[in-house]
Amino acid sequence: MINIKKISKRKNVDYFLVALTIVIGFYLGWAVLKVALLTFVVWQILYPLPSKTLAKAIIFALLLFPALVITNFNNRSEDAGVLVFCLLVATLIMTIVEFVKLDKTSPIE
Amino acid sequence: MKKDRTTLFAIRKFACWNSGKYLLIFLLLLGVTLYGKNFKDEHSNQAYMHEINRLSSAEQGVYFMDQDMNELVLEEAISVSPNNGYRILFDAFVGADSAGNGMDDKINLSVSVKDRFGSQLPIKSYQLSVGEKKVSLEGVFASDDFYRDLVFTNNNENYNGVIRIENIRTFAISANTQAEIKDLKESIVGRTDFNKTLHSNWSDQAEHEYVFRRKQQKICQIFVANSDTISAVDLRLKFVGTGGIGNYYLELYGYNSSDESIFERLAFYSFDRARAIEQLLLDDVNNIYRIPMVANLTYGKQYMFCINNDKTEFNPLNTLIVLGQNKQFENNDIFTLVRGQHSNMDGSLLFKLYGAEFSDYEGGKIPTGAIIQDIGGGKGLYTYKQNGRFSDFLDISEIGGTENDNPGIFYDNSVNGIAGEDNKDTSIIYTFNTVYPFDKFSISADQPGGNYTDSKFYISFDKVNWQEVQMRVDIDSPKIVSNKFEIITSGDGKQNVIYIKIICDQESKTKKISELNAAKLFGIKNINVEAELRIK
Repeated sequence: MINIKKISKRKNVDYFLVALTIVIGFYLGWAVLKVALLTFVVWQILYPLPSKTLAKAIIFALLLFPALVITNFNNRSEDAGVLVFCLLVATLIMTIVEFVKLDKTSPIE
Repeated sequence: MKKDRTTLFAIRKFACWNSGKYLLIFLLLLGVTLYGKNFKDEHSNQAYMHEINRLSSAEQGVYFMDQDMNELVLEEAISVSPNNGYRILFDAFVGADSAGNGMDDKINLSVSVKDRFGSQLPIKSYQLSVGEKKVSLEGVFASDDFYRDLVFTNNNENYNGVIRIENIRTFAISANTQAEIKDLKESIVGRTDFNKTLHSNWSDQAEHEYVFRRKQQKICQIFVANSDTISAVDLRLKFVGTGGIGNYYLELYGYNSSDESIFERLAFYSFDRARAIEQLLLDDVNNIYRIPMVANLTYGKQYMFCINNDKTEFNPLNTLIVLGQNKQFENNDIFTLVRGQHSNMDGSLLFKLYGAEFSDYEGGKIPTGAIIQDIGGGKGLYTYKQNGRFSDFLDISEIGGTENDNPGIFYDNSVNGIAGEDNKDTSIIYTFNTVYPFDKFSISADQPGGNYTDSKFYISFDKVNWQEVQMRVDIDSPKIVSNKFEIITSGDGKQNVIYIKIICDQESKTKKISELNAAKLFGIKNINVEAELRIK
């Protein structure tokens, strides 16, 4: 008999969703970077990183971008550009989410 | 009872947990599954791509007569009127007999024309050998009525093979009586044989799979040239899933194994899974693909052909496998290059390399598809028409430039023409030997890349004095220049050779491109030559 209790453990469901995302990405014929970005989006929904961490990641990716251009890794620099854009969108969304949460929890004057 | 309540509690608890998050992920994955497929794989687009590939396929105008068909009727294939003479040219290949009749067997194939009421006029009968190479056939007739259908008849009931008929061309001629037709000279046709095997490293059993696993990866096989021309390569390829999105490139490079140096690219051909299946697939059971790879080689020098995935987005479930065997090919290595990093591999690719053998007349090379025919009344006709195939490159008689080893002139299948980079003073020269002297001739040609290419086009009778041919200009708006070069002029009735030369226009309006450090591009395609000949 299926043990619903065991299956429904949150972590198991989350890992299943992440695995499903990777399988769907590969099934659709996406490149590895695109599959990784989709998985990142799903992971961010499940276990959101704070906007501060994401902003730090943007700075790192922005530094990476010119370094790759200088070292002639043009394809990789394009990938870094895409990564910066995605992180920027994620940071913006997380900032709004955090702001709304803060607004709800702050005492009414 | 208690157990049921526990289960129910677990489900409720599960449903309450961040249900909004799960709903969001569910919607995201649903959207990705429905719309996330690259649009190349959409069904509507697939049909469109299929049509494009079919139209640009080399297999257009190919007809098959299998063992159940004694007659092949091509309706409205010609338009013939009474009291006129016509010449029909076609290629035929009689496949091996599946019932096991020997190679010595011959079959009788006859050609006739038919009118709308069913009455037929026989043109000619041919005795063709079974299983031998493709033959060019010719029939000349004087018409007594209006005919519109072309009929091929296999007169051998016992033959159990397939007859392939292709490349049918009809010409109106001046001779229109049986007596005049009898006196006509036989036509000279440029029939290039692309089936001459240069190297064969083949086995029906694939023992090795070379898989594209890395980005910007090349899988390369070295060989030593045993001919001065290469036209195509047969490879056994397996596309996994969609094969990836974007094009794979088959490339040919010069190579020196002593210091592992790679010279400039000599030829390339791009393909993706759809194009490969539509245009290149020879045998879908054994996954055999014939890919054009045209270049001039130096006998005895080392070369390597590579397949690369530089322009392909792929993953482990959607990639390309090249089949090989464990045995090495004549002590020549196979290796992989990942972003310039060289690593040797075991075994060899399964491949066959093909050359090209041109028809010649009195020592002169006849370009592929060129026809020199006697049309009666002491006159003849020379016709040559390019159709965007790889043979257009092999018809080039000379590639000039300061660095002849790496001329930077290619057959580019994305534009179906000859493309060149002006980085080495290069020029392309075609020679048309009309055999008989010509009185009048017309030449037209297109630029392969439209306004992005800067070509200059010249003609000459002696290869010394060159006359520039201008692009056709719209009469109503002279500022609008088409990308078509065109000239109609006269000869002196003594010359029988026309040269055309294509170079890069250094002063063109698109010079801005070169200021951005990009090489200027030039090229040519769809060359069409017609000449009225003087045959005595």
